[in-house]
Amino acid sequence: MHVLLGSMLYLMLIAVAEANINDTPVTKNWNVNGVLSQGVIDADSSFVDKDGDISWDVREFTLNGQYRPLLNVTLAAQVQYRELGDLAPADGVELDHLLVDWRFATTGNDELGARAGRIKSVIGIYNDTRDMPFARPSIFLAHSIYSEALRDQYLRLDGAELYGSHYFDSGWLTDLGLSWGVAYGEADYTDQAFSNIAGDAVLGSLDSKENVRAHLQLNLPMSLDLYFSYADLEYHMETDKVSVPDQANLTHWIAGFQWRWNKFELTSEYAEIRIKVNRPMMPSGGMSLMSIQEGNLSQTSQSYYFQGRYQFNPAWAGFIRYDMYHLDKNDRYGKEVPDHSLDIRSGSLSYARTRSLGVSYQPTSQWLLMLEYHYVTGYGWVPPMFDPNESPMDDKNWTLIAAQVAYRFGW
Amino acid sequence: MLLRAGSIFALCACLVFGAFSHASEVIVHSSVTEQVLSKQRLRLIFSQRLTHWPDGQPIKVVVFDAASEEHQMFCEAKLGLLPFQLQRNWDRLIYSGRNSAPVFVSNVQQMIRAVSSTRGAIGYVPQSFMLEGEIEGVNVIE
Repeated sequence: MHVLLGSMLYLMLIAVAEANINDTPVTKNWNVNGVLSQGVIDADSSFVDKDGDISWDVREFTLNGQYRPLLNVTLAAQVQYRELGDLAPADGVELDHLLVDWRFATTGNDELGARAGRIKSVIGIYNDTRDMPFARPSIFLAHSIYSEALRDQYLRLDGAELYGSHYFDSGWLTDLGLSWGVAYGEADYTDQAFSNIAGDAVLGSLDSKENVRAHLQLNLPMSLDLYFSYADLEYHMETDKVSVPDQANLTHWIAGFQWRWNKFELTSEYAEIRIKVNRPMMPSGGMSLMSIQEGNLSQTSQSYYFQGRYQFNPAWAGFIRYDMYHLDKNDRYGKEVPDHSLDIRSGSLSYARTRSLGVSYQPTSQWLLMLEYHYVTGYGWVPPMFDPNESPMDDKNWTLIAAQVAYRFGW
Repeated sequence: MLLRAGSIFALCACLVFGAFSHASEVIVHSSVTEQVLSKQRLRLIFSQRLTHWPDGQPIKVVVFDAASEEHQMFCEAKLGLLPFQLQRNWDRLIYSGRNSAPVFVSNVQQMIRAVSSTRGAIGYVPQSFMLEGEIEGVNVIE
């Protein structure tokens, strides 16, 4: 945390030194706004509620602020309270982001800047706003890409980012925009996130102190995006206070595109995550690749989705989505591991095919209501929340219905 | 016959005048030296993807209420965007900490006051408003 604050202070001092003290400040150089939401989820699996019951513990509260003390320096902060059934029980308010942003080079067409502090990660089209009802197409994003289990790994970093953008306005490159970013820092794992990854049988915690993230986006009439992330994981056993550095590492890349034409928007992303387990977590029996006692496990998952969204009128919009997840791209349906073996790589535990349909109604810019239906084949969403002491369900198909109402203020 | 022709003429005049009254003119604070902005450039500015003028001044976007007819007309005619597309861009930038919200105003007087008093500001007014003459403190963008 002291490194984070030190980075922020350093950036601020440099920005102040470079600032033109004769600039007239803009009026109202600050803004505060917030979002409240309440939802309900009914899933006939143990995905949100371990007993498969209807869950009303679906709430989000966000308070967001920006302040511009200098012409090229912005301070931004957001605190958040989030509940998502048993996946994310209430755990108080957390700091979503707290950063200083310094744009130290701008020419109108080009911008170059840096931000430091607790920053949101740009890994996937929707990742940095995945918790904001007004900034996502549905209550649940494509789970193959925006997994709840890996949310803490990819949501934000305590560190710094260098970023830039360039827009072309002449010749054959007119209308082309290019933006990029490179970030380094530490990801913050909550105890709940560890439990979601490792299962309840394994005690301890995870750290991810070294993360590198990069993204590149081309803006044409459509946008083409490329994202990359590398993370080292360190496991801390609860007993004996033993730490396992370099316990595993994750290499993650995503390619995406988004095309908008009039009221229609088409979005698609493809991702692979390679997990390399150098030393298994102890004890064995946990529902995670990191608990498998084979040593030097290396496996690559595969994910992709296609999503269409249509704005019927200013208030009503709808979406459909096809989403596919394979835990192992070389054994896409887990056939090489015996089914019912309670190995996360086996059969229906290793994949999920999701077909989704939903509508949203926004009668004013402040209110938003969403309703959606997901039909899922396979339990790739569910492990390791799944209790290994229970028999796996023979029916590989399950459904999830979700509804949410959201209100925002300060706009 | 003459009465009928006159009625038709009056109706056409109303329709034409109505169309002009809904067309928009882009205005900027007098400190902004840009005189011409392409549709692509306007789109980037009002989407808040471009955040500074070439001289380094931050761009402050001022818009009418998102549900207003003025805003809808401006988005479609000047930006080639639907209002919800602009709103989605704002939401993504604001809730990720990458930019602040634009300034929302309720009427033309508030728009004029906001743009004329904020260095680097950009907004828009009905074209019919500009027919009344120059507005102090703002420049019109071609």
